[in-house]
Amino acid sequence: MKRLINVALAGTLSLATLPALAHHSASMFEPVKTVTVSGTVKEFQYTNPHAWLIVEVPGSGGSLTTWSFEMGELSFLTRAGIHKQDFTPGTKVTITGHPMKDGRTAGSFTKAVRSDGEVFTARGKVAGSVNQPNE
Amino acid sequence: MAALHLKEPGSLRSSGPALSAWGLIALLLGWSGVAPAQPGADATPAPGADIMIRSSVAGSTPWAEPGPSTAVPKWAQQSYRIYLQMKARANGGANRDADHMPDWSGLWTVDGSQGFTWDGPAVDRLARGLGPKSAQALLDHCWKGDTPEFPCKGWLLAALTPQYALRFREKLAAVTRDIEWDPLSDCLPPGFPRGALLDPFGRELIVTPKETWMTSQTLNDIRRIYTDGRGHTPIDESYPLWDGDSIGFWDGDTLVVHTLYVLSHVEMQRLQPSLSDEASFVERIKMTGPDTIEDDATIYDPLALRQPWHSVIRFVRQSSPHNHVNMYACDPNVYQTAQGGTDIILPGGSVTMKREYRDPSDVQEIGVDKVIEYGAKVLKGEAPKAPARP
Repeated sequence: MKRLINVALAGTLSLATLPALAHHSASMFEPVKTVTVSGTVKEFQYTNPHAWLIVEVPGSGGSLTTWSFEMGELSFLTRAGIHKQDFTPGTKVTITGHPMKDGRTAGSFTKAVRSDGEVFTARGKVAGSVNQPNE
Repeated sequence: MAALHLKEPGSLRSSGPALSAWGLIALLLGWSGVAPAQPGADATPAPGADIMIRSSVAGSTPWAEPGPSTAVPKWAQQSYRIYLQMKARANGGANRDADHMPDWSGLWTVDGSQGFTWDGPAVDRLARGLGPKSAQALLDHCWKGDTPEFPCKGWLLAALTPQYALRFREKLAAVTRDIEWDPLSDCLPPGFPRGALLDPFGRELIVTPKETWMTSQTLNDIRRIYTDGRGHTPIDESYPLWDGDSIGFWDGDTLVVHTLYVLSHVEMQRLQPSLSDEASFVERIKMTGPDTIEDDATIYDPLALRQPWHSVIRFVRQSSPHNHVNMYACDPNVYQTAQGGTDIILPGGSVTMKREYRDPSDVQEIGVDKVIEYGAKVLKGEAPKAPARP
């Protein structure tokens, strides 16, 4: 899958996404920028106080870069309809998040689009998103 | 001002005539149960005020003996007086049994419109957020030059004293440079009122005749509100607590609560002002709908506030079928940096940390003070550039 990284201004975080960042200071993340990467799910750490979605992103020359995205606590995720089976290892996915300020390959999760068209945001699974064009 | 000795007749909960007598006394005094103190009066037991809490098993020994003292420190007397006035108006409070308690079962969260503020929807959406942009907005709106303007309409409604306004300004200035204190980043509890009233995480409200628990899944924190008739912890046995010392009574279906002895400094959130260890709280908590509870809460703090700071915190009951409270500890990969900020260890990463001795009773103060110190330098233009991250 072609590596895709796109950093853009995306406005301030909505209050709805803030619970994901409320367990600790979020000062390590860029609050107004976003990064988007496409790759393969390596691991979905389905745990509290934060779930982490870890993906391997292919680069030039066949190299792989590991990207880690911090998500909210599991009670938020389950209420939002995000479950363990949604991101099993090997799943192809495009993820958007607020990147680390220091350039490390991680971010605060805002959105994921699976290769089957299912869309997940910090608010939860987007109803009826299956079969929508991938971003 | 002379110290006041606050007494609460111990037999009121079981006697109708006594309840009426207390109400009458309250009216005659202008408010309930307060008489001018004599020197050393705080240590003098109030006749009849000793409340023994016994097991329901005959012959068993008391599991708690709160003792006669219901005195509170001078700094908490304003809020305690108001609490006792409420209690007098409620004729001492309802004596409820387990079959006649309000149904507050289920999983609750703070309404999302609250953001991370005491003021909630009464202030700008940006003021309810976190991070440098919100910090800068508060700095821009709540000071004219170096002069604080609190209450800061639309942004922060606390009437901060000059000392605490300066402290807040320094705190905000640090946040604009990504330096901010958060106890959760250091594996410490959120504390009251943040944990019980402001954090947006799952919680249960366990109501029994003698105690109500406001639980939070963050560190399994339990705020206990005693409604068994006891007074506050005696002054000479009191010490700062993460969730404070809370007593209450039932006014119909409303739980009325008085809280003090909250751990200093009271850090309500990363972009809220600090309170002092002289903060006390009066709350009236009741259901306002099938799935809503409102906490009409007021903060009193003679050091931090020129006038009480009021809010109505709204809780909403979650209805998803598999919801339940899961205790969790702090994030093992989040840590407080030496510079006073917060950082995170990613998979495959590592960090070397130096830990220094911290007085347990000042553990939060130390963390906050580091931020304040940095913020003061920011305001003076003396702050070093934001520290490099690993």
